[in-house]
Amino acid sequence: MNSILNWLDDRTGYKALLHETLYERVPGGARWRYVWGSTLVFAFFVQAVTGFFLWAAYSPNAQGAWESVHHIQYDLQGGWLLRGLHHFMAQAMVVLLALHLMQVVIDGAYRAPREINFWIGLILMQIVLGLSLTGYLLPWDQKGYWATKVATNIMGITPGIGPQLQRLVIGGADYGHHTLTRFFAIHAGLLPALLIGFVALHIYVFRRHGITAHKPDSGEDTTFWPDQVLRDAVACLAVLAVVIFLVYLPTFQGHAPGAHLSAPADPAEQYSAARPEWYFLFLFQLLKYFPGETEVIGSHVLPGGVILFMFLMPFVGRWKLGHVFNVLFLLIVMLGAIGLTAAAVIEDRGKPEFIAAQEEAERVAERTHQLVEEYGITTAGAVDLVRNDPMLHGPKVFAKHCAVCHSYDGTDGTGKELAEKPTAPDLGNFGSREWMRSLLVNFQEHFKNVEEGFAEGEMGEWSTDNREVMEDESNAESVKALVEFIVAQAERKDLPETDPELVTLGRDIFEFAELANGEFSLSCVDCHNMHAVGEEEPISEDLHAPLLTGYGSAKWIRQMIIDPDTHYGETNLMPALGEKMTEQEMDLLVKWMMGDYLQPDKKDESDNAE
Amino acid sequence: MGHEQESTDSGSKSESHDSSLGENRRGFFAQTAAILIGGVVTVVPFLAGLYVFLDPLRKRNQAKSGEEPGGFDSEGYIKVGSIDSLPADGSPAIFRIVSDDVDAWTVSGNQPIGKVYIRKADDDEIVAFNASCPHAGCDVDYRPSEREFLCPCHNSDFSIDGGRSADSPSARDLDQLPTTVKNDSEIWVKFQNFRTGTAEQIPTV
Repeated sequence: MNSILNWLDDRTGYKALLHETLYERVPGGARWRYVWGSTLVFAFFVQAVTGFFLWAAYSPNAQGAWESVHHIQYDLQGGWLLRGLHHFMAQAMVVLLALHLMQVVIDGAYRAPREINFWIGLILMQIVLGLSLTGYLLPWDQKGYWATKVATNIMGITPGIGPQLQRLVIGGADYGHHTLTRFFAIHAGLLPALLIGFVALHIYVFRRHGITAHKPDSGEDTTFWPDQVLRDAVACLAVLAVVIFLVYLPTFQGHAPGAHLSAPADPAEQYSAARPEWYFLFLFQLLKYFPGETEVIGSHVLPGGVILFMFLMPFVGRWKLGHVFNVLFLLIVMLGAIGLTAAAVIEDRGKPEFIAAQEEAERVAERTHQLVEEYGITTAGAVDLVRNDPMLHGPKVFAKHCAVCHSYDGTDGTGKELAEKPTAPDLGNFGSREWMRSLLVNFQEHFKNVEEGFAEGEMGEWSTDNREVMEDESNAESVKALVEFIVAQAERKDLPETDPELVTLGRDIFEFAELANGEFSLSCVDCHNMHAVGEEEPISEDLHAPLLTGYGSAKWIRQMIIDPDTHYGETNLMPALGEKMTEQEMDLLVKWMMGDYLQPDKKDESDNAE
Repeated sequence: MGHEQESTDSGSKSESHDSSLGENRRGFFAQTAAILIGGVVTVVPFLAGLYVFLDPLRKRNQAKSGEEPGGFDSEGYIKVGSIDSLPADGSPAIFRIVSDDVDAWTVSGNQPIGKVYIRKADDDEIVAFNASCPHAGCDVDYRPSEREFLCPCHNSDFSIDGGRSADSPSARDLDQLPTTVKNDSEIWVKFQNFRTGTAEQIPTV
C-alpha cells in the first residue's frame, strides 16, 4: 500500500498538497468563530450535489417545467426531500453569506493585505444572489413566474441598456420556453462554474494570507486538522440539521413536507400573492418609496451604491476611524434591510386582500395537484387542467357575466361582495331540492329580488293559492315527490341520487295535481311544457309558461343563457348572454352550476367506489 | 500540539512519540469525530439524490390500479385491425398499436406505442409478431421478394413464420404475440414488449 502511495506521490506530489491543506496554521487555536467560511463551502457542495440530481429530473420548457417539478415532488420517491434540501439550503446559504460578510467586516479582515480576497467575496455574493434569483423561476409556478417577472422588468429600466438587457435575459419579448432555457443555463451552468472558480481563488488567497486571527495570543497555535476541521464539521452538521428541520416544518402546519409548489404559471391569471423570496423582500419594499420615474433610484442607484461602497471599504479602512465607519455602514445597511423586510411583512399581514390572495393561491395549488393526480397531464401542460377546471373558473365567469343581477350564496360567486343589490334570485342552490321546494311553496319570497312584478305573476299566485295544501303535514311526501321528479330532470351527478319511487310518484302529481290529501288548483301541465327524462312522448306541449323539460340540466341552463326567451317567453326579464360569452366560458359556467366537476372533498370516496 | 502534528509525515494518524497520552487521546477523538461528522454531512445530499435517481429501478404500481390503459381488455389484448385487411397470400401487414402513452408526467391518449406484423397463415390462423427485433430492438422490415423479415441494423433475418436464420445475430426468433378474433373480424393482439438480446422472452414492464 505504502509503495503505491509513494509512487502516486512521486508523480503528483499529493502529499505536500494534502499536508498544506490540512496543516494550515491556526494562530491562537481553533475557534467556533472561524466556521462560517467552511459552512458556505458546504452549503454550495450540497447545492451542487442536490442540484445535479434535480437536473436529472427537470425539464426546462413552458409545458414541462412545472410538470417535471411536480413529478419530482410527488411521483419520484424521495423527490420532495431532494427538492426541499436544495430549496432550503439556498436560503441557508444567503443567511450564512450575511454572517460571513459581517464577520469579515467587523474583524477588519477586508483590510490590507486581504483587499482582493474581500472583493472576490463580494463577487461570490453576487453570484449566490444570482443563483437564488434564477432558481426561483425554474419551477415555473405562479409564485416564481410573477416574482421573477418583476425582477426582469426592473432590469428593463436599467438606464441605457435596459430593454436590450431584458430581452436578452428572457430570450425575447415575453416569458416562455427561452426564458426557462436561459435561466436554467445560467443557473446550472454559468453561475456554478463561476462560483467554483471564484471559491477556488477565494480559498487560495485566503490560505496565502492566513486566517485573520481573533486574539492570537490567547491560546496555543494549532493546525486546521483536526481541531478546526472538527468544529467546521459540527457547524456543517448544524446547518444541515436546520435545513432538514425546515424541510419538515410544513408538516407541523398540516401540509406535505418540502418546498412549496404553487399553481403552474399562467400569464392570464392574476396572482396577487406575488412576492420575491424573503431575502429579497427589502428590495421589493424599497421600490414602494420611489414613485414614478424615480424607481431607478430604489432599484439600481441605492443597491448599486451600497455594493460599490463595499468594494471601496478596504480603502476607507486605511484611515483612522475608517474601519469604524465601515462597520457602522454595514450595520446600518443590515438594519435597514431588516427594517424594510419587517415593514414588508407587517404591511402584508395587515392587508386582508393579500391574505385572501395567499389563501386563494394555496387553494389553487392544492386543486391543481388534485386535478393532476386524477386526470394526469396532457401535452398541453398542467395549466390546461387549471384553465379548464369548472370549480376554479366557473365562479369567475359567474362574477363577470351573471353577478350583475344574480348573487351566488350572497356573493358574486368568487366570494366577493356584489357591487349592487341583486335584482334576480340567488343561484347558490340553483336546481337543488331546496331551490325547487322554495320556488314551489314560496314563489314570491323566492323571486323577491326580481323587479317588475315577476314574483306576483301567475306562478306567484299559484304558489300562494296552494301553499296551504303543500304545507299540510300529510302532503309532505307528495311535495317531496314533486320536487324529486323535477330535480330528476336535471340528471345531476353532484346532488344526492334521486329516489326512483319518489320520482314516479312526483311525475303523477306533476301531471294530475292530486296530492295525498287534496289537490292543486291547477296542474303543472296546465301551463308548463314537460317532456320527462326517459319518456317517449311529452307530457305536455305548446303551452305558454316556462319550459320545464330538462329543468336545471346542462342543456336547459345553456339555452337559458343563450336565449332565455325560449324558456320564459313573455315573462322573461333576463338578457340573452350567448354572444357575450365564449364557448369555453359557457362550458365552465354550466359545468360549475351543475356541480359537474371533480369534487374537492369526495376524492377518496370516489376512489373507493371505483 | 501544533508542532507535533506538523512533524507527522503524511497527515496520517501517527502522533510523535513524546506527546503525552492525554493529548494523544484528544487528538484521536477529534480526528475520529471530524471524519465521522464530515462523512455524514457529505453523504446526506448524495443519498437523497441517489435515492431519487434510482427511482426507475423500484417497481411500483402504476397510478390507477385496476384500470387498463386505453384500448386494452382485462387480459391485455388490444384491437389492431380487421381480418379483411390481411393479404390473402399470407404475407404480413403492419399495424400500429394505439393506446395511452404515459411518459413520466405526460399522459396522452391515442398514441402509437408499438408496431406488429400480422399475417394469415396457411391454416387461416392469425399470426402476430412484435415488429421490434429481438436482437437489439430496431424495427424489422418485411421483404416481399424474399418472403422474409430483415432487420436493417445488424442483418438479423427471420423467415415468414418468425424463425431466425442460422447466421442471424438474434438470440431468438421474432416475438410472436397471442391473437384472438372478436366479433367475426376484429383482430386483437396481446401486445407486449420483451427484453432484447436474450434467448428467452422476458417481458419488459
